[in-house]
Amino acid sequence: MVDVSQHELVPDHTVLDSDELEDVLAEYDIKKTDLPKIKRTDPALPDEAEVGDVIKVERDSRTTDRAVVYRLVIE
Amino acid sequence: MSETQYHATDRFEFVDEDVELLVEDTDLPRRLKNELYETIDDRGGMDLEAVEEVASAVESRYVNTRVDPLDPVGTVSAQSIGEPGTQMSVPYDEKVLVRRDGETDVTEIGSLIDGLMAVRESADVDGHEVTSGPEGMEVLSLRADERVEWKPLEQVSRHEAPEELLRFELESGRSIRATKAHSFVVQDDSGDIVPIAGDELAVGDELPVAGEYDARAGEADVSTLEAETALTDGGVVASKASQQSSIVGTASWDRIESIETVEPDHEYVYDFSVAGLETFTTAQGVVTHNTMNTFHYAGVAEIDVTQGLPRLIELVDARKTPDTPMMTVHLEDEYATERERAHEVVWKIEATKILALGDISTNVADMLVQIDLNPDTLAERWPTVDDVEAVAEEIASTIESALGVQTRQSGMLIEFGPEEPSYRDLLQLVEDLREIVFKGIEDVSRVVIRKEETEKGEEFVLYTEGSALGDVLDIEGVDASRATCNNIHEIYRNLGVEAAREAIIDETMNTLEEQGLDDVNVRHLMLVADIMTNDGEIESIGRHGISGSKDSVLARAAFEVTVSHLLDAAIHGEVDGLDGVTENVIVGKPIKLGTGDVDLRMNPGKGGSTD
Amino acid sequence: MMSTQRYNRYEKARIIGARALQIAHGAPVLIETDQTQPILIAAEEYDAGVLPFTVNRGQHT
Repeated sequence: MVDVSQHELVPDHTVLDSDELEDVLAEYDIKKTDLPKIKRTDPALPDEAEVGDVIKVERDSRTTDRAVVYRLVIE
Repeated sequence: MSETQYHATDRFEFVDEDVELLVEDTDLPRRLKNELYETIDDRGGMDLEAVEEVASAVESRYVNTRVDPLDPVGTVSAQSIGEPGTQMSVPYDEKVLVRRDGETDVTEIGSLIDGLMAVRESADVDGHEVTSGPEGMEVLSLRADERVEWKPLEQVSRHEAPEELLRFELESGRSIRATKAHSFVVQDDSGDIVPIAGDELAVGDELPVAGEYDARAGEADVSTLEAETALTDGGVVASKASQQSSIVGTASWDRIESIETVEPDHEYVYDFSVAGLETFTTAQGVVTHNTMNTFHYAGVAEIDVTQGLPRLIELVDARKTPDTPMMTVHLEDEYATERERAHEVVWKIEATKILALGDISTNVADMLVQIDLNPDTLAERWPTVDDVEAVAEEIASTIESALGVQTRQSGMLIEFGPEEPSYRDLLQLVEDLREIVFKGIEDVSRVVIRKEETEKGEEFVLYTEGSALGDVLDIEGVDASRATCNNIHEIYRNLGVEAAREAIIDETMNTLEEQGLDDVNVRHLMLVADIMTNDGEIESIGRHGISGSKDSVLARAAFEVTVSHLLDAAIHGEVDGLDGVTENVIVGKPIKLGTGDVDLRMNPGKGGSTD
Repeated sequence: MMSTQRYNRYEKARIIGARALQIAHGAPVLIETDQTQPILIAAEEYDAGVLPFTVNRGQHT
């Protein structure tokens, strides 16, 4: 399989560590289950990501330079 | 088409009335019917059942390969499937009718186009020099309803002349020369005007001619010479033509009297591109057809793609496969810059079936299917294998494993037959043989190669009909960071949700832009894409997707089949918390957003309030 | 209390709107003003911090 992360349609995916996660959840005042989801089987997911992790996605946005969104890894 | 009583029984020894009735009843052109008779005759007659099988096999093949009007056929598509001999167009000194600023003129197509090529920038499309037509120049073109009309000349092109041309002489004395693949148009049995390749025309077929126009211009139907002088004379014609609206008259049909091959005497052959049926008229009034289809999708000629509302619905409904799947495949390094290397990738992607590799014939006497492979094609499609013999062996073994038959292969010839002599089995083998994919990806029926200006400079880009993104990404030479397809599920499977989200936005925006709706704010489309991918997989918007799975009964009822939603909710004792926008609009409450979301309390005893 | 709470634009709009309605219905005005339109009077009252409203933000921040 080719390295999918190099594809121009695929933004950077990184696993959030627990400190960062807490900051994010505090900033938006949400639980992590309120986040959009991403499947554990998603080809763009970093190898080390586990179910329950939160992934930080950094997109080249059409409306601003860079947009950061988060997705919760699910089964 | 001379459909009146052909009397095959008189002409062929072994054809009786039953056979004739059967053959005449098919949807085949005269030429193929005759071939059928000849075949029957050659074999000393066949029983009726066998004739029926053969006839229906031929017919289904004919109907399948017949081209509809405006279907992408011709130069670019033909060359992209690797038929090097495919050429089109008419030679230098063929005179054509043009109208410029209302003045009708007859000019040699070669001098006209050479003149344009000399002063304009021309693009290279697969060996064809193409440039735009001169401003305000029009040519006589045949419309689908048989009317002849002046149409703006959109593009002109020229390319090197092939080794031989066909010359057609018509009943009225008109004649035309054209390359073999240069399509003419004929009327099929149902009366539709369809393009047909030059070398498929037979004596007795009829070509459309701009008859009325000629007649008015000086009774030119009788002799070609007179027609030309009358037209070149100019004066009379010009004044008459310029007074007319763009529709000049109805085309009439002229029978082909003879066909011969001639050698071209100029370096190039030429062609015009006109909107509509893409036909233009020579000075002698013969209507010819150019297959360089100028319809384009995002610059891609001759790949037909679903557009507009149907495409939008397809995207929003998240259909598993689009109506017209396609891929855009960018290439890496030297594959992107050298045509030969790019073609290597094309052969790895495009499904190669037996019809592209050689001729199939069935030998009924020995119950054998015989394949005569074309060594040039093999060498071209297997550029990495030096020995075509080895390729032939490979093909033979592919056939053996796919059909479960024993094959005999010697040189370019492969033979095999059914275990038991059976006519039906033999035909079935041929049918199955046609479906075998010898090379490439089964789902990709066609690949078009184009040279394009991109941010990386000039490079070759492949456009495919049919898609299989996962397979293509693994192919050597393919730039795996830029290859995409129009199937959002395929992108989801291979590149993930985030890529699918991007693809949904891109595809919806492009579809809208294609329709001139380029001022739709992307934010709307981003919202749609965000919602569709919110759960980590692609979900459709409609009844079976997001709109149908809303929590609120009222919101669902507002979307579709109101009564049954309310009834179901009542039966199950559902409660609506009135949290959403739709529900609150329905019950006439402020929505829970902005000022509507402010919970205002008045402090009792403070200040002086009445009410 | 008014002065201790900071309002966002929706809250401000809602407060002034609600107060303007009361004034239009004949409620006594709480400040000295030259304004005659209820909405402008309400706006001045808001600026003066004399309005008897609180916003219950519940679980919101």
